[in-house]
Amino acid sequence: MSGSVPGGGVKSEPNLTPILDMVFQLITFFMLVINFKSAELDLTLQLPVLGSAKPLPDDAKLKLLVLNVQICTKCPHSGCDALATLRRVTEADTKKVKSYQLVCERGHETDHPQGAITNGKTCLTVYGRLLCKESRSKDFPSIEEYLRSEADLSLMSATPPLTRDEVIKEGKELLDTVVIRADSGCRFGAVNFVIVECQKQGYRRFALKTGQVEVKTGP
Amino acid sequence: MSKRHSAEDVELNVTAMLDMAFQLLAFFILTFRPPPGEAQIFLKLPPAQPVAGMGTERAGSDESKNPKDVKTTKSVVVNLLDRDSGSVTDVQIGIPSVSMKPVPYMDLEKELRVYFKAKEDNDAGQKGGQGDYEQVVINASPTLRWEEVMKVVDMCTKFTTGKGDKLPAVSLSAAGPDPGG
Repeated sequence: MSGSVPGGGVKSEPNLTPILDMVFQLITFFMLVINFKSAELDLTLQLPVLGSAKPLPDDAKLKLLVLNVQICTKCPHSGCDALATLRRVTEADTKKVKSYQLVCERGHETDHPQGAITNGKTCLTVYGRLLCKESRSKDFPSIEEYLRSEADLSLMSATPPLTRDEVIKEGKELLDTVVIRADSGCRFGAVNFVIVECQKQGYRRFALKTGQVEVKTGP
Repeated sequence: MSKRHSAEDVELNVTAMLDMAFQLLAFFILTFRPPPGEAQIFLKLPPAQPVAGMGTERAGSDESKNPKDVKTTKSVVVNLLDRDSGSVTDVQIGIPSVSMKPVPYMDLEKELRVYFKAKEDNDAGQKGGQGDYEQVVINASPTLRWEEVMKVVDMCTKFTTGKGDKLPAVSLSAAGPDPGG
């Protein structure tokens, strides 16, 4: 394919095989490390930081139900009736909180200098959807309805399959672990409401998520 | 660089494949998000049961034939109260309706140790000491910030009594309904 071309020049084609090899290796690496599970985590939450909490062991084969608990309020943007949650704006290098914003489901951003939502509603964030105590539409079921549907899936996947009566009346427990990821500024009543709703559905095992203390290295 | 072509010499055009591979690579790089460094405290939280003091009979034991006994869990309660400030202002340790001792929040761990030491000493003097307790209930005000409750949960999960025993179970309860709609 390479050689002299009309006009006297030399046609040169680089050998693309090594670069293709390298690109495929990079693709393989990213495919292996990609973690789709992080989609269910709401990374805007600031978890309480404690020293003694332990990371999840690598060999743990736990079935997890991740619940992101926070407080939401009505969007202050005029004419918008969506719900908004608090977001911290941090400095890129020091990670210090610069300011607070209310960000609603439609993307409106409003400064919120108070830094905390007072008299807000308890809500769960599920793949970007905000679920409240009351159902808002078919796509936004209430917290209770959402937990019941998740519990039904757990009942069916249990070996042997369990029925709701066995869980509610006979006190059998679901083996799934409920992971509570609650914002550190959230009030306890909101978290306790979610825990009690989970208990009503038969969940008994809970993992309270915390941020890890940063380990300082060097002098 | 000239090369003689024979009938068997086939060269694949890899440019198109390279383009596609770069697109895939760009997708994976852009969607790559390292997992956040998180840890957790595991708790087994059964539904709330009536609380009994450590000196009462154990539910389900032989002595529970006494009709006065109801299914209760021997518990030590840690009350965390705030005055709508979101932070702990008052702490009490003890058994509800028997004795609740107010303690300063800063000294909560020390006071818990003193409380269990006194309990152990008391039980050692009694015949067949009833020092077993089944859970520590953290009964917090619903308006308290979650961070504050987690500090106490953390303290209780790593707490050891004078004998070196860990607290068997830590349970959570709210001293009222969730104020949020």
